[in-house]
Amino acid sequence: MKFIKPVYAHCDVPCGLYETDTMMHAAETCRKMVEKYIDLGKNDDPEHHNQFVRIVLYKEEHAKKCKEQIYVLWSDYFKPDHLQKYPDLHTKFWLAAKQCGKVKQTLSLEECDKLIMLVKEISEIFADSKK
Amino acid sequence: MIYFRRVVGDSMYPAYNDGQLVVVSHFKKPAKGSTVIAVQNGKEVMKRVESIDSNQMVELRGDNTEHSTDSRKYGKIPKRHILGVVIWPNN
Repeated sequence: MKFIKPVYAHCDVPCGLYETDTMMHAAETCRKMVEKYIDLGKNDDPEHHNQFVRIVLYKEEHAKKCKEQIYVLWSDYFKPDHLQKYPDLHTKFWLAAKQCGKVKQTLSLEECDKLIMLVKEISEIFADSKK
Repeated sequence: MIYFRRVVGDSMYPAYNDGQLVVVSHFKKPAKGSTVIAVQNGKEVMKRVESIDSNQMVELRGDNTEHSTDSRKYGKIPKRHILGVVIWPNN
């Protein structure tokens, strides 16, 4: 009804602008870095060491970024009301955040795939909650 | 006079949700704890009255303090800037 005007109850930082693309991009970047590490092979050449460090550093940064994105969506977007519709919400977010740690600790494609799957599940819940 | 408004944003959560319809009374006087509609920077905002001082300056606060821009940011506002008090739902 057009005669009902909006009244603003928000903060300067726009509310409601949440997305899951960034966390998925970060998770997929971690996998890409592990692929690059596998392709790199073993070598004692300093250039090789340099490349190895860069790959691990980039993976570390993106696992951290993924974890931050998970925490923001979990704590800022989702509200107690959502738990009624998604009772395993906390478990999924908790597992995803823990999985970011696993990705940091290892150079395992399997651990990266687990993270991507968990982020995908979170993305699906998020998309469903916006309907 | 009463009128309707639709809430935009989460600063009054959990008392008032984003998208919720509220009924506002122009006649009811604001008091400490009232949820009011006020003009701030050219826009109608919805906040709760934290206090009203002897100079008729009102301190506004969002219930969801982590996600609210209110008097902590823009200071107290003159009482005359309050357009009405939310009478339904009376949370």
